Amino acid sequence: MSISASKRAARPVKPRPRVPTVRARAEVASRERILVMSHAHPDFSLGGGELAAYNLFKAYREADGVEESWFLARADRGHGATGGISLRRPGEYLWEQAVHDWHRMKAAHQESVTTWFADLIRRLRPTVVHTHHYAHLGLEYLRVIKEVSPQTRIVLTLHEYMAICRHNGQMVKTGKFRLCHSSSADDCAACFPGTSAEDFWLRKHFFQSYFTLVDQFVSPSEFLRQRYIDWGIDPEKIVVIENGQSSEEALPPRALPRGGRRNHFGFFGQINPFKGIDVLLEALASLTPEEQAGLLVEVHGANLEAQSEAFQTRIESLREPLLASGCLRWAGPYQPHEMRDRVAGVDWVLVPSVWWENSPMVIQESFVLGRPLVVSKLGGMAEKVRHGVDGYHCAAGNPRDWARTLVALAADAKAWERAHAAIRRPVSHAECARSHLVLLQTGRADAA
Amino acid sequence: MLDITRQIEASAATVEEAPVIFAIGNDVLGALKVDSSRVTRTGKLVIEGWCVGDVTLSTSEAEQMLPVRLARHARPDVSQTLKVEEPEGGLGFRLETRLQDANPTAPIGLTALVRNGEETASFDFALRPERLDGEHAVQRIKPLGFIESAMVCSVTGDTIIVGWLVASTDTRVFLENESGDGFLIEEHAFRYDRRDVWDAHGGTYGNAARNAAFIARIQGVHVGERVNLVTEFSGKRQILSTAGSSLLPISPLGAARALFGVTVPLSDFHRRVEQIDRPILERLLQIQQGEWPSLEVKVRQLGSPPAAPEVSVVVPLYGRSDFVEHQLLEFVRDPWFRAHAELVYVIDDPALLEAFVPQAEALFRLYGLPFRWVWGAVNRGFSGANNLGAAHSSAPKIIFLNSDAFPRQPGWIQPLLEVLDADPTVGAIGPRLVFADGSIQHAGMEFLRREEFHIWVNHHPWRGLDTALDPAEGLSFLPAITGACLAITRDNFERIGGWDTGYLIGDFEDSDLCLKLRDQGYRIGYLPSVELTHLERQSFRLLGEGQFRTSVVLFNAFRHQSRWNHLLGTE
Repeated sequence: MSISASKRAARPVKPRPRVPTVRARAEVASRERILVMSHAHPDFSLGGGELAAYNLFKAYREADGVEESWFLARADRGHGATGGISLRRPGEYLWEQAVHDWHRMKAAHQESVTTWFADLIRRLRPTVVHTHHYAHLGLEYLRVIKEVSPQTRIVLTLHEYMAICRHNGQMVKTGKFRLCHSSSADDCAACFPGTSAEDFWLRKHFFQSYFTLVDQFVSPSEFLRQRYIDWGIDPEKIVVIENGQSSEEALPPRALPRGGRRNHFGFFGQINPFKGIDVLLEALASLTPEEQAGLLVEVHGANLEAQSEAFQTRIESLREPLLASGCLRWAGPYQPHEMRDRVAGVDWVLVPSVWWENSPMVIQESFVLGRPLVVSKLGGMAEKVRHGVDGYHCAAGNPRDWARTLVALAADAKAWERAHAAIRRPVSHAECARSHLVLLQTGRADAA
Repeated sequence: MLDITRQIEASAATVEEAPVIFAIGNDVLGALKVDSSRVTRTGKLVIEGWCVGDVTLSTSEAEQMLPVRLARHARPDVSQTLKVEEPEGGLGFRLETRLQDANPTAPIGLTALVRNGEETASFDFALRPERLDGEHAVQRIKPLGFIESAMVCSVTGDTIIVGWLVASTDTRVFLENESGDGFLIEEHAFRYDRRDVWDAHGGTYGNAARNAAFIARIQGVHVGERVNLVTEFSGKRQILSTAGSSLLPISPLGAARALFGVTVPLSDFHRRVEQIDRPILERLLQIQQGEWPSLEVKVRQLGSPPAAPEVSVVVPLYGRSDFVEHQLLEFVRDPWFRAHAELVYVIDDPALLEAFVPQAEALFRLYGLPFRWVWGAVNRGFSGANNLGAAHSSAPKIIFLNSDAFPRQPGWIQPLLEVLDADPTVGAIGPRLVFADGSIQHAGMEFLRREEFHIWVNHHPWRGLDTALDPAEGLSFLPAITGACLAITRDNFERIGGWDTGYLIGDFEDSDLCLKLRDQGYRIGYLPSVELTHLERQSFRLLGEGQFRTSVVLFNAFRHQSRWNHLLGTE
């Protein structure tokens, strides 16, 4: 007997015959159906990558030229990697997936990659999958997209250096903290003595083979783009589009008391060894009491308690005398919606990170809110803040340079006015989406 | 003066027949056993065996010491039997040397130097090595073997023997019961590779140490009786290992736990199940189910059901009963249901009974919806409970419904029954089921081959997707549907003999029912316009969680495909 109503493609996944469409070809090309993928959902975690992905998904939904847009985020809801795909809300899916082999970035739940994920692609029929990660998802889904739907273009936005660097994609040496400038099989094996150079050769070729499935790479910074070009991505295939930001109004300048100066500095974000908070505290500690009295640093940061005991102890012993002297305020963690109020109380925002960063969200947010920055002269930070224009650079990891700069800025009323006036408003979510759509149509990244 | 009671003594003068024990009085210091010694044509001497304690071995030829090469390896059998821990390197040894005379006429000397603190004593044993024809000839080795457990199934008369055997293929090795019946290993055992046995003996015995492990099924052993592993070698009979027997649980599940506790590589599981487990487990299931008709069934009818119901809705209860009230809330606001449906709950969980009986009375007083509950005296599983419910209902059509499935709107039954009425070739019909988040839980089932386990699995396609993405538009015909909500005519249900009760806990009963219908030429329908919410916990693992669960899924899958191989994979 024949059972034919729902004839399924034979497994492993194969392209299904395309459903005939009555729409004209040109129109089909201009009406994108975009699935945005991310390694996390902002409902559960608030990293820069997932926020950028989610905001872009919402902007795609509103954009001209987009017929439909969906969001698929990896999630861990306490059941482990069941492989299950579920509906978070209309148009938004969660995938209980994980990576079990970080060396080769292989998905923990292989079965679901070729079944339920393939089903999702089959049924959504996206013209574009714009994915923001493969961490926690594994690389294999890229292949399944092309197997199921060869016409679908894959856009991959890179948010860190994970393909280049096994060390959480940070390009920082393991063990003793040292910045890393480029990867090689030998150098990487030196960072991971348990893994051979040959294994790193295999890793790189594994990633590069998967990356050939990607039609277009996007980098939020030129710095990260260059790192990937050095590593082996064709310069023609990778463009820079900055992450979109909210369209909220800039804050007015902090109201100064009579005779007050632009001497309030704020640190916002995670507190971990990469973020350079210890450099900042050492800089403050090196100041004379008179210099300390002339400025205030506020630390709005989270997750110190999650760091190593040695790091916690170091931070605590550095901050105690500074809190006592009054030049440091420890404001603690904040919710995203509180950011605006907290930034309102400072004049400058500080980003003293000692690793490369890519395009730190805090820089764009500060510019949106109308605050110039002082940042490490390193990687994506040095690119996004123009020294002497809309902010200042300090030597990364150099407390003396940070100390000199903070004292000088606190004393120079003109410096803040000049930097404040020079701020360029970051691109909005809508502009960011538009840039991507132009890219999809023309293959070029145009200014939004 | 020497205290003669403190002298180290050896229990015997030979080491080839049985272990020699070294002791001071009753304090055992160590033991030595030579399993084999052999000389090749070119004069290579290999001595193999095991020793416990601080014992140093050397060999001599015509009273001349020989330079030896000694390698140690693990001997889990010795360690287990003597209850001594393996030292680093292991209890086993292989001693290799080259003789001056390739044709020794005098015995070869094996000297054991036994140490106890400062004290030492030296013992000489004479070995008569076997002559081999070639440098690497290992064909005619003395076999080694060990019985780890023997489990007697008092119901089927089978005994399952687990162990390992290293022997060349031309050696006769058999298991023997106390009545003297012999069962050749090669005929009665499932063999598979065991890494630890290979590590210990592969180097010496080569291919004879491959597939060393065995699970054998023999007969004629009573609980407590001994089983021997016996070889006939060079005309000599030798007992390689002996073990007492214990009782295999008689409940199918208990027996399955004991049997599947003996793990084999999953890729070999299909061969082992056919040879060893299925004959026992299926018989135990039959015997257990053979008792059901004689059990007292309790039935309580609350209120009066419709006089001539069109459909019986049968819901088995297992694990929790609080879903019942949530179902009643949906049924009571459904006029068609009240007028035409007969509701039957089957209590299939002894733990639920006490609470459910008064709960049912209270629910009836509150909702006034007539229903019946049936308690079949024991847990019968999904199939058994559904069959019991069907037997205690009367309408010409039946809907089998899970207790955690809730219709999304009143009037859900009629469209399903209309399909059965309109087209007699439709054997069963099911609705779309959605998760609590509204996404697809069930839109029909299909069969996927998973060659790594040699099985067909039931797959729920489109799972987790927005219902708008369900490719089925209107009534569709599919390979199978879930048993969580399935409508069938009573005639067809009886014609195919109801739900199959030959599976162990869960899996495949629903596809089995669908395939029974398809085998008789019926089609399986799926009607997406009817939706129920199904709160099934999402379990997405191909083979379930844990080793036992995995074994059960495989067992069921093998049964499923042995029945329906001609239909699976034909879509």
